Amino acid sequence: MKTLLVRGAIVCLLVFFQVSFLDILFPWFHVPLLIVASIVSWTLLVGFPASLWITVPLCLLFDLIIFGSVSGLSLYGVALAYATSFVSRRLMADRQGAGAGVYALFAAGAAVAYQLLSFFYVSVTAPFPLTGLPLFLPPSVLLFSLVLTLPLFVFTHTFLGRVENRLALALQKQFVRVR
Amino acid sequence: MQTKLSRAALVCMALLFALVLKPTFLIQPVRALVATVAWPIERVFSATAFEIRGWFGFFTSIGSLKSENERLTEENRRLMVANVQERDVSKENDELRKEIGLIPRGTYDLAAATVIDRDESGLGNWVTIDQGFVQGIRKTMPVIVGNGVLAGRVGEVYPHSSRVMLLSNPDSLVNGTALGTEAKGIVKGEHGLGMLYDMVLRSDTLTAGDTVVTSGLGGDLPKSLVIGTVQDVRLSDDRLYQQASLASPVRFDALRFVFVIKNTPFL
Repeated sequence: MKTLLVRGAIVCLLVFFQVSFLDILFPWFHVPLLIVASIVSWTLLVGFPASLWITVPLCLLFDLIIFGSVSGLSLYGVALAYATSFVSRRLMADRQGAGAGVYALFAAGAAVAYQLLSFFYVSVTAPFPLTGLPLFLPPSVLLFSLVLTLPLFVFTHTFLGRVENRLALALQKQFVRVR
Repeated sequence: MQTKLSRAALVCMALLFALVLKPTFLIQPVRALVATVAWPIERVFSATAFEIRGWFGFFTSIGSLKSENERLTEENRRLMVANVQERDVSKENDELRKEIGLIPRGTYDLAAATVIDRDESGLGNWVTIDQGFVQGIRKTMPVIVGNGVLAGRVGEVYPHSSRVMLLSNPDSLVNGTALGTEAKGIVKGEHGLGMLYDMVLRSDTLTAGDTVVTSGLGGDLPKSLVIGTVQDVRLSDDRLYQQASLASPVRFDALRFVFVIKNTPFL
């Protein structure tokens, strides 16, 4: 129960921080960088099956606030969590040091990939721009997304790592007490 | 035994199902609850973000301060002259309106509001403000910036917050008229890219640089709220109407303080 409450509170905090802080500070981005970084961090920390129970509410809450219904982010989030688990098992890189750098780049690449997917989705499904202007995604926005996701991944990985460690410790103590 | 891939596929299918079905009867109450709970936290986060952005904006704009200052001084001078002339006309208008018994124009009951979150998709479609049902906000109320620049309309209302559909939203349709030539048309949003002034009769004159304002037709918006400036005029694809891109004086991605018109005398 404690784990559920703590994780639920962190999910809410991450979403509110994304929509009310990062989206206002960097309005030209079209991707929830903090959400993407959190999905990768959490999957690395708790593994895919457990992270699914976190990723889906995280993405759904974000979709609810922004779009009012389930959006492509939820599907992308699940796919990203699986891909993270897949890559981490293949790479077998340590989550500290150079290995963390690899995963940070992976998270940054995931953010850029989502941005590109959203852009192509809007280009294909939106009616022909009546202003006559072609839809254009500046490379600088992609580069900035890539660069900004790196420290966000470090922050979320450190923060969530500490939280998960404390939760694991609390669960262990509870188990010992019961015994 | 369920593999990770099959589990991921199952969840994706369930989400796709929810995406297609869009169960609004389930989503709306949850959304209202989330909006009520999120409102105070979003206020704190958004205020901090705007302050930080303000500081960054100050430092990055230092280089262009001199030229911006000169441009604004010149514009101020020009507007001062125009203001004096307008004041005379306005005074005469008020006297004439009093004579024939019409109530004064432009007296709005305004509710000041702060933006607490924005449309993350970057399409510039929505912002959320910190005024809601409890503060007297209702659906379709116009939202303005400054003295009378229309930014959008209230779309959804929660107890302490509301979502404002901006003019750049593709679902936004506003009746407009060009100030200089009185060419009537409809202002449509374009997925955050801008606005299009459409369905203008070919017999009407539409000139680049003219200002488009709300026409008041339909009675849902007050007259003479500024929408934007005509950029380029062309014929529609079917050649039946004229259309033009509009440049709004409002930067939708930088909106922080807005006003909701709660009570408008429509004339």
